[in-house]
Formats: sequence, C-alpha cells, structure tokens
Amino acid sequence: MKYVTLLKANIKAQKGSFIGIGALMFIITISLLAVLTIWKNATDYEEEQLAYIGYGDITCWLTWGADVKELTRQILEIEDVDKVEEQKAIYIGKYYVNGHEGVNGMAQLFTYGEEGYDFHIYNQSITGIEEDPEGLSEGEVYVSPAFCSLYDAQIGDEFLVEIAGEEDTASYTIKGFFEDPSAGSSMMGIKTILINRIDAQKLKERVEEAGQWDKAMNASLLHIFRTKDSTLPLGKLQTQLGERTDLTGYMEFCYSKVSIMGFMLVLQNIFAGFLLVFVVVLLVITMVVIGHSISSSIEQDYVNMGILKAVGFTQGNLMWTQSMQYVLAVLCGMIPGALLSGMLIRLINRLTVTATGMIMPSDLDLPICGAAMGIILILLLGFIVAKTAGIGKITPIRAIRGGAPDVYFKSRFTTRIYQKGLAFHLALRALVSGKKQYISAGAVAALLVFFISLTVRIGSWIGPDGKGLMNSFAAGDYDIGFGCEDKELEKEIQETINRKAKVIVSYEFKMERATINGFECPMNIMSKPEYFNIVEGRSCKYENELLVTDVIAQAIEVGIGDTVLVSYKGRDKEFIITGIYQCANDMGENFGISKEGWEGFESEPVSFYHHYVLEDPSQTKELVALLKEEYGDRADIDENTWSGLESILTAMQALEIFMYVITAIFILVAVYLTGSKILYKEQHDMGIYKSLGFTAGKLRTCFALRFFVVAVAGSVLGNILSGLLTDPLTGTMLKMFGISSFESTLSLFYMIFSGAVVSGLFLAFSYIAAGKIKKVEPEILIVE
Amino acid sequence: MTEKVIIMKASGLCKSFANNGGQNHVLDMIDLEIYDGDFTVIMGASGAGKSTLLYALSGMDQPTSGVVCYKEGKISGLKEKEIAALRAEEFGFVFQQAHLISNLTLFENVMVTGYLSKKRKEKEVKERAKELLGRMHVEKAMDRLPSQVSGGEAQRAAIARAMINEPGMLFADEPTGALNKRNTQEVLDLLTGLNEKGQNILMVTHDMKAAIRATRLLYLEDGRVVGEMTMPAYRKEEARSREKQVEAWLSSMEW
Repeated sequence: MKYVTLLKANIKAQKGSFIGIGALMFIITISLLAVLTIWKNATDYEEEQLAYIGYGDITCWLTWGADVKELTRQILEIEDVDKVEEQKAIYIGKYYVNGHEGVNGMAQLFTYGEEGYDFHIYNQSITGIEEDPEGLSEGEVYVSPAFCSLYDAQIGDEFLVEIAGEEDTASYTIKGFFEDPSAGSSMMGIKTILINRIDAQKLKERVEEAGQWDKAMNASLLHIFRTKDSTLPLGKLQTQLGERTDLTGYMEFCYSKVSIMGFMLVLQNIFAGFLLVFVVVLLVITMVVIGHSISSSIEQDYVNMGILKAVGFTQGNLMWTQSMQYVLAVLCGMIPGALLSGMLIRLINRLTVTATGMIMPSDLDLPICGAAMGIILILLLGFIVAKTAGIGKITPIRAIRGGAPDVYFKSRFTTRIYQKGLAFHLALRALVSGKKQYISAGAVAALLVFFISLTVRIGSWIGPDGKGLMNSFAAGDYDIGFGCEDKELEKEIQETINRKAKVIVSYEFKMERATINGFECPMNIMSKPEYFNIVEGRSCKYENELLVTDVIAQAIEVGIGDTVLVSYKGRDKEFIITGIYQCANDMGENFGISKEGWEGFESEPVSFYHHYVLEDPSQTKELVALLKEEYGDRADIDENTWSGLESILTAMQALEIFMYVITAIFILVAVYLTGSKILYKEQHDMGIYKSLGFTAGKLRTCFALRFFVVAVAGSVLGNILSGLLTDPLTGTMLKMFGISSFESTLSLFYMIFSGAVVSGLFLAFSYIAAGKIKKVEPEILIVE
Repeated sequence: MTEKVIIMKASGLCKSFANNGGQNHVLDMIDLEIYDGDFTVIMGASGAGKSTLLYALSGMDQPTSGVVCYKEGKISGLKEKEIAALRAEEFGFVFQQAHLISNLTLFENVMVTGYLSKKRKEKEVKERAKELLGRMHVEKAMDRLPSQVSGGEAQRAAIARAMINEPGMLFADEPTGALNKRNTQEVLDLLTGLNEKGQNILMVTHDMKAAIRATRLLYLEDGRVVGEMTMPAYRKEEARSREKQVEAWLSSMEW
C-alpha cells in the first residue's frame, strides 16, 4: 500500500512528464507496430497469393514458338524440380488506358476463369474481395488497381491494345479490378489483364494473323516448382535451368518467386526499412527524454526522498516507486498505441492499395509485434532502473539540510554579458552554467536534424523529378531515348533532337536477356561503355570484356578479373570482368557489355535504342512531347522514367511531411518535459529577475533562446552526422534493392532549412512552455 | 523648518486573504505617506503585516483595494511592462536573503540590473557597478558566484545591485535577518550612509539595532498603522540613547 500511495503522489506531482512520455511511447508503438505488420503481412500475403494464382518457385515467360512440351521434359530432368505448369498468355507491347499510353512495359493477358488459375476480384470500392464475383462478358476486362494511380482509371473506362500498330487494335471496357500479386504494383512495368474466354480466343487469332511478334504475341508462362525437400537455392536452380535446358533461347525473361516479391514489395520494403530506422531514432530520443526526466525528478524530490529514507524507506523501495512511475507512463503509451495500430494499418493499406495493387491484411502480426514490444519494454526497464540508481546517493542528513547543493561552479568556459542583446547573453550564460540540463535537448535536436537531413539527402538524390533514382536503374544516364526500325526515320529523329536541344552525349543502347554463368538476367549493351555507371574497376573497353553489378557478382560468386561464360541466342562466349557497375534494373541482377562485345553473338544488323544526355535536362519533357507528337506512331520515344516513379516521389513527399509532423510532436514533448523541470528549478531566479524589472516576455524570450541555441548546436551536429553516416547507412539499405552506389549531397539551403525548422520549433515550443513564467511573481522571494 | 515632500502615498490600502470561509485582513484601510529623504522603518509583531505593507507599497504585490501613488503616479493597476520599468528605474529591493542570480557573479548581478535602466550606457554601468561594489567592500569577491561568497558579502552585493540605478526608493525587507552580528553592523552602516546621501529607504525590521537607524518609525498592529515616531538622523555616538528611546516607544506600543 505504501508503494501505491507514493506512486499515486509521484504521478500526480509529475503528470506532465507522465503524459509526455506516454505520448512519445504511443507514437513509437503505433508507428513501429504498423511498420512491422505492414512489412510482414505484405511479405507473407504476397507469397501466399503468388501461390494462389499459380505462380511457381520460378516463372519463365516464353516467347512465341517455344516447344513447351520439350522444354517441360528438359526441366523435369532437373532433380530439384517437382512439376512444371504452363499458363497461356497473350503479350501486348502497347496498350492504352482511358487514352493514356501504358508506360514502360508490356501487358500480359490471361483468360479469366481458366482452370487452375484463379484470381481475387475486388469489390467496386476496392476495399475488399468479392466472394462471388461476376464473370467477364465479351468486351470486358479486369485490371490492377494500380491503373487508378497510374492512369486515373475507373470502371467503364476503355482499355485498348495494339495488335499490329495503330490501325489494328482491340478495345475493351474495364469491368473492375482484381488482385495481381505478380505484377499488380504500380512499381512494375509489366501489367496483367484478365480477359473473357471468347475475347481471348478472338484476340489470339488476330495476333496470329497479324504475326507482328514485337507488338503482340501468343505465348506461355512456365511455372516451375521445386520439390518439397529441395534445398537448392532458387538462384542456383535458375542457373541450372540456363545450363541444362534450352529455355534461354525461348525466354522473354525468367524470375524467381523471391525476385517477383522483391519487385512487388520494393516500395513497402524501402519505406519500412526507412521508417524502422526513424522509429529507432525516436526511441533513442525518448530514452534521452526519460533519462533527463528521471535525473531532474530525483533532484527535485531530493528532500522528500531523503525524508522517506529517514523514516525507513530503503533505496530499493524508492527506486521501485520511481521506476514504476516511468514504466507505467511507458505502458500507458504502448498499450493504446498497440490497440490503435490496427486502425492505422487498415488506413495505410487502404490508402496504398492503388500503389501496391493489393489489399494487404491488416491483422497485427502478434509474434513479431509482441517480440518488438517486449524488447522495447525490457530495454526501457533496464534504462529506467539504471537511471534511478542515483537515488542511492541521497542521504537523509543531506536532504534535511536543504537537499542537493544547488551550486554553480565557475567554469573555465564562460560567456560575457552585454547590454545589447541582454536576453541572448543571459540565455548563453544559463546554457554554459547548466549545460548538463540542456544536453538532452541538444541530443534530441541533433537526432531529429540528422534524420530529417538524411531524408532530405535521399530526397535530393532521388531528385524532384526522380532523375537520380532513375539513373540508378538505368545502365547509363540519359534524358531522352528513342528506337525505331526505319533508318531514314532514325536519322530524322536524331537531327530533330540535335536541332532542338544541345546534346552532351549520345550512345546506342539495347537490353537483351542472356545468361551469365548460367544465370538468366538482362544484358545491357552500350556503344560507349565508358558511360556505364562504373562503381569499381574500369569499363569494358575490349570486345571480350564485360561489367557486372554487385548483385550479380555475389549471385554467381565472381569478381573483377574473373572469366565468365555468357550464353545468348544459343551461342556461348567467354568474357573477363573488368569492373562493377551500377544498374538497379531487375533488382540489380544484370550485366553490361560493349556493342563490340555483343556483336560477337549477333551478326545480323539489329536496331538499337538511342540515348541522349541533354545539356539542359529541363528541356526533356517538352522535347519528348514534341517527338511523340511527330514520330510517336512510328518510333518508341521515352524519357528516363518509370511507372513506379510517381508513387515513390509521392511516398517520399508524404514521408517528409510525416517526419516533420512527428518531429514537431517530439520537440513539443521534449521541450515541455525538459523546460518544465528547468523552470521549476529556476522559478526562484525568475522571481529575482522580475523584482529587478525584467518583464515576463523578456524572461520567456531568454528562456526560449537557450533552447534555440541548443537546437542550433544540435542541428549543426545533426548535419555533420548526416554527412558522415547517410551514405554508408542508406547505401547498405539500398544494396538490398540492387542500388549499390549511393552518393548523396545536400545543398547548403537544405542544411540550413532542416536546422532552421528544428531550431524554430524548439524556439516556438520553449517560448510557449515558458508561459509559466507569467505566473511566477517576485512574492516568491518574500519570507514572512 | 522646511515642509517634507511626500514621495509615496497609500490611501485605504487593504490586503485580505480568504481564510476558512472568512476574510483575513492583513492590511486594513491603511492611509500612509512616505517622505522624501527619510529612512522609514516599519516595525510590528510577527504577522502584523509589515512585509505585506512593504510589498504592497512597492508594487511587488497587488493590494485587494486602495491606491498607492509614487511621485504623483499611481502604482496600483499598472500594466506588467510599466511596473517592470518602475522596478528597473525607480525602485531598489533588498530582501532578507540576498536573492542573487545563482549563475551570475556578484559583479554581473549588479551589472545586469544596471543594463535594464536607460539611464546609463554599458561602460558607465560597469564603472558604477565596480564603484558600488567597492563602496560595499566586496570588490575582491566581485568575480565570484553567489555560492562562493559569505552571506554578508552576498547581502552587500544585493544592496549594490539595488542601488545601481539610483532608485528613488530603496525597499528593504529584514535585510539583516540572515546575517551575523558583524555583517549586520556593516550592512546597516551602508544603508545609513546611503540615507545620509539622500537615499529614501523604507525598511521592515524586527531588529532594534536596525530600527535605531530610522529617521521615522511606524508601528503596525493588526494591519493598521497605530504608532509613529520621528528621530533625527543617526549618529553612531547616540546609538545607545536612540535604542532606549525606541525601546520606550515600542513599550508604549505594547511590543
């Protein structure tokens, strides 16, 4: 009972700290559980749904004319393969949604209702799955919800495919949306469309008749399943498929389940990783705030605790009471945070459905969330107990004599006080005298600025138009690209580009699929290989040299100087690796060779894409629009962009706003907790200042300036930390997504901006928190 | 004999506190005038309302009712900025405890107060702060923090601080209450010296040794001024006789 009485009294006396710490823990818990659950649910659900729609451990997209029976026989000869299933599809090179041209990739049309291949159809509001969905009538299609974010598609809109150029098209109406775990994300170029059985047959016939395989093709997907007891990694199985079968010669591309999941969940994974780091930073900040609060409380309650010791309370009793007070505050934040996290998860899943293309489950992942909460609780408990150990230093006799000596020792480092800017000079003096009290505020500012600065650095690397990010996906930088079969037209487009803009660099580029040491992946071919984004080593100058990405180097266990075997169109050729280059395409699984190197495989003249780097990249959009208008029907014109870019840019902006809001809340709580303790301690001095003629406004300014100065110092430290740690930290994370070279810069403006935001918030909130000064009257000095 | 000039005037001054459902009148309709050049001392038993009267007169505390005027201007009802300016420019305070800002040296404590006034520039403030601390015999300790000096040194620095802006009125609330005998004597000598040079002083005390420094004594009982006595300026050789005189007066007040 004695504990309960003390506990109640302590909480009542320090309800501000109690509420503040509870609020911080609420934010941390709700964010952490949401991030963990979304990440885990997305991963599990994606895997489950890939299996539901019939995708194998490895899926190969075959070209027209492949002998499926023979290939299946060859594949089944591999010991680790259990079964192979064929899924018929029609590939479409160009399609339009509601008049918008489909960006960056083809569409694969599957027959809805085909035996063995089922799909979840969403209700009209895309909030759930239809239990008994309607079948497709002739002329109707189901599409991914990603079409909503990509093309603003709605039910009833037109979906048009080109069978053989603009003149030969087939038009359908969007009947609704379905869940596509294989390509539903707006991040992916390829898109799946479900079509009526009769339409599929008609389309197949028209495609066959047109025979323009570069525009539309009747083909199949081969879903390859490993045996249940197989321990062969999917990468190795993929290599064996390349080495032991004829698949290479008939493949558009081939992806493992892990790769598809990587593509589909790239956005969730990047942002989950990012937010997880942010939550860790917030947890550290909370620990700093709790630490300061405990130290101040012990100082504040020194006399009371001494008296309690004098009447028989042990150090353990007092430590227990103090610790429980903070543990309770932590729990009061964590429990509602955990309870409400489900709502937040549902909201996020609902808001991101058009980007992810899937309605992810919103149920909390109890084992992971429970473990995360348990770890945090144990960590905080240990920290709180360690901080309350200071109670041991309290002796009854010292407490009865007036408590902890409130002595300012003259420091060697001191500041002078001038008449001009008196409030500022007094603030500086207060800081120098009581530096320990402000360390926590400085640490909070440094950590927050560090993280904001880190985010802004990543944002500036991505670039306002996403160019930085796109360059990491491209083998070489470029602004405009075009490709066409007609040599005359090619020359005309080249002339137009050179006439309309100043071109710094131009080169020919082509991406084909090949195997490297049996590993099937894209092969980037460039006429000027010196423009590959080299990370290590040198470019592939000669025809027997090539470059690999970090990811490929690890996947096939090779390095610079090693010899590899490249198979392409049934021909094998050895190459020496001269360097590592950066290209995140296909999650970094690709390699690059020179045009001369590629010509060793291909003797027939083949048209290449032409890439241009403009002196003034701002001309890109206008020039692309002009080229599309003039040559769009006869040539492929593109700028260095990607279907998922918009989503990433939007998410990045949302993340920045979210972080500023959370930062503001954390600063508010940290300033309130730190400030109120300092104010309590200094109310006597405030009374003196008032008796001398200082106004409350001047004292508040002086008080707020202390926090401002601390925040500015913290901001400088945060920016330095960010400068030192952003590249290694972010680089490590992005490596998981195939981006091996990350170099960020931050303009002076943004450095100042993030520091100014944090310092400004400290100034404003501490000024508000110092409102209590108005209530301090000089009467406090009166002894009756 | 020249007529005394009123520097401060209180009319119908009341200060009440709610107490067990009733009202406790600490100051009860006080009418009072303080004259220019006086060293006025307020005495009375504990709880008579001495300090309350001092702080009500100085604007440090707001009376429940009544009006206080200083040099023709009303103090009661002034806005925060105006009362702050009055404290900075016109009033000096010496408390029972020195009440120095703990993270400023003695010199800085005096100087910061000087900076609040518009009377002097920075350089002049510094010179005057040094001079005052010299006069208070604390120049050797002026670069120390309050926690590093004796109670007497701190209190003398507090008087220097109170004097930095040449206040029209110096309010002192039991300024020797926390000092030993030697320091008490020094502080009282300083206050007497200041008054001799024309400084108006209004002091609350219990201490006979402090009371004899007064030129005018007021006796407070149950929130009312019930007695008054005037004396000539203090002279050290007359200390004993003044003490007897004050004792007799206080006896008549049933102290």
